[in-house]
Amino acid sequence: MPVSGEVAIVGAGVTPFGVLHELSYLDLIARSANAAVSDAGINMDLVEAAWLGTAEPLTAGLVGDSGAAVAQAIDFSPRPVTRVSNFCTSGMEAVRAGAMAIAAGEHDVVLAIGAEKMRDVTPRGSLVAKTAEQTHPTLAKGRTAPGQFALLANRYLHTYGASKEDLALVAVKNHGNANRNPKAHFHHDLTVDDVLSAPRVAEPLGLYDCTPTTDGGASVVMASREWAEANARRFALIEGMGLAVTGGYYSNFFDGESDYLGFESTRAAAAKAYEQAGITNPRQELDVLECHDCFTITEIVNTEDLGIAAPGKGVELLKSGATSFGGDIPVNLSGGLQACGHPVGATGVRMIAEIFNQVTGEAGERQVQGARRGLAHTLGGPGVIASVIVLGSPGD
Amino acid sequence: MAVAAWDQDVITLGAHAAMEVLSRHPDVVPSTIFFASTTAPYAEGSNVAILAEALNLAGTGCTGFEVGSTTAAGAAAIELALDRVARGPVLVIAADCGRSAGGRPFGDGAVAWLIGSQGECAQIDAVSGDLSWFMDRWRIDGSGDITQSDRSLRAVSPGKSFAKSVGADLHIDDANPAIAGAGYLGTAAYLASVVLAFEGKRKGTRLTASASAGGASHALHLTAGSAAKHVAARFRERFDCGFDEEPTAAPDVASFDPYTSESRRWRERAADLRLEASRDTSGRVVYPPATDGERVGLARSGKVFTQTTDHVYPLGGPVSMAVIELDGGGRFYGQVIDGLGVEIGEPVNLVMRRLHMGGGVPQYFWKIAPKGRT
Repeated sequence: MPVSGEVAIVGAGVTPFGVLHELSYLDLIARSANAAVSDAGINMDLVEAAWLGTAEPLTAGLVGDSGAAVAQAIDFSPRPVTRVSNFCTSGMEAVRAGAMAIAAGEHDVVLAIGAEKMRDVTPRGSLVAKTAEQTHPTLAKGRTAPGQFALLANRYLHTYGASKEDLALVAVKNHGNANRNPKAHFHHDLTVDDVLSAPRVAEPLGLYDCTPTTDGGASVVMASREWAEANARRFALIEGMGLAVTGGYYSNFFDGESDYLGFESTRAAAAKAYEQAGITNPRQELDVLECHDCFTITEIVNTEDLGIAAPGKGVELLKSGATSFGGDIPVNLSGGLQACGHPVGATGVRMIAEIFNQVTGEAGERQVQGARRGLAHTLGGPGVIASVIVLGSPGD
Repeated sequence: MAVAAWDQDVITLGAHAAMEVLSRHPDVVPSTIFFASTTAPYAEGSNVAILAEALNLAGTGCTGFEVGSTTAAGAAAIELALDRVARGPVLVIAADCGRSAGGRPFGDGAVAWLIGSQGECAQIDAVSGDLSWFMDRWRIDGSGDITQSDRSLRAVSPGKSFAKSVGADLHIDDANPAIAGAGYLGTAAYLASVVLAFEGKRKGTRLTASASAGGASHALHLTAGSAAKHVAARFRERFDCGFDEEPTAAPDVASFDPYTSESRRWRERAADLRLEASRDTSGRVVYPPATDGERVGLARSGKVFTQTTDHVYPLGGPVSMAVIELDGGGRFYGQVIDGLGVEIGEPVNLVMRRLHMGGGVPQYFWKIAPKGRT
């Protein structure tokens, strides 16, 4: 049967996100998985299978390149574990794979785990150097992750007449939000001036326009709707799920089609998720969003690609306060990637945990009153892979 | 030329000189290439084969020869070319980056001549040559820099008496002449100086020009054609540019160890060296090229679509990156030369450069250059 309406999130666990020298990669798996299981009110032996989202095991000595990492971290032998990887959507891919196994009737209760240990190497020694050195010897040489999104920022600013100050507002909003999230990497307010005067990373992006380099783990327990109705303390249903892969490693750069104003992958993934969830007006029908704000510009284009702002109107939406805490369509109340950081595989699962808490009324200080339906979005690589999952409280 | 950028060498300079002369004669397909240089990157390995790939002459039956040893090799290559003309047009490329071998005040540059059985530039009527070993300038293999003997010894060089004996109007050796705005261009000096000697000269003007280095001497006797003075004027413009700014320092590459694969380098040589792309069934230009599919070349000019200056790229920074909308379709994404900033909408060209030395081997690729700045 299809996933929509039949698969539930029944528990969640998230480690602190930060520079966690005392915690190993395997600790991130163990702590978040055990916390999720405990939150679900069950024992680990009830979990039948697990999926592990980790994008770059090279930053952790190759540990995390297979399901063996989970069997080493927690008591899981001999149950099946699959490591999945799809750039920054890896965490949500673990959720998606688990959901399909449940919908297929193969399992009743599974774990989706996302974890990434990025700070066992220095920040510049990790993904930046890896991308610079290990990728294709000629194509796109000179590319970095911030550099890729800076191309988007410059074209967006040029086309719509937006400014660096407009971009900075995303960082200010999300860093402010993180003060309500003890698990976030950073907890300090920023001003627009702080953002504009920060060291330059890739013009027009400076340090505070970029997600930091962070360790972290997050897990969710998922179950069939029947199991959840009979056993769960609280649960949310997956109402829609979309994954779109629109191109390869270089398509966005050497392809004449990309307008550098947004991402076709997000639009396609959202369309699929909205179709399954029966959403035709996301601005009205969603109560809360976590979207992939790897860079300030990305949150702005995400709101357009997800259909909560019209093309070119992302800055207007941001400035209206609608996406702020207290606004009618809050985005990244957790602090987003901007302030939580982006342990790549963990991010998507952290977002699912956040929306799960929102729509089950357990988001504490961050709670959106009466939230019944929320969305999680991750975007990967040069923007060619996007994952969108809509969660809703049952009985909607 | 004068001062090559840190990412230029005799291959990139030579390729561009050749591309320019070939583009002015699009119906001429050389059947032989002579490449003359004393500072080519491969002491063993074929520099001329790389040039043939870059010029889309590989696999066409075109053969190549490398002429080296002394900076008179440019003149020597012309002489050798004359014997090959019966088989088809000959491309002679002379290039040296003397500064890279510690040469002073030697310039960096490349000049290409296209030699055939007809043409409007000049006619080569006769040649002469001589060998009489002499230590004017030398470089011992594996032991570093170019050395010159002292001036008083060079004053008695046999090259000078050879020049006199053939009645040379112009004699090129390492002291003479230094081309204003270029310096001494090594093997390219002869090809450049002969052209410049035709400045303002009408068709029919005769010129005897000799070259000598290391005791190897060569001379050509030429007659100017109707185009000679126009080519000379074009060269003078190029040489009079000098340089107004410090060339960009080479980035510190000591710790940069990019992934390389010789298998990939060979397999993707057309895409790397001449931006060969493919066309899909709907007519769209595709780069990198699909393995199957009609072959086309990417255009080498266009406009900036978007750009950034990247401060975190680890190979010396900041790196300027841009996406270019190419004339005729397709896009290119890559580095801008010398870290120059470019603006959206700015017209640019694509230029061949040495991207890095991964695996200890020069990796050639293309970069973006603002128009008027190559």
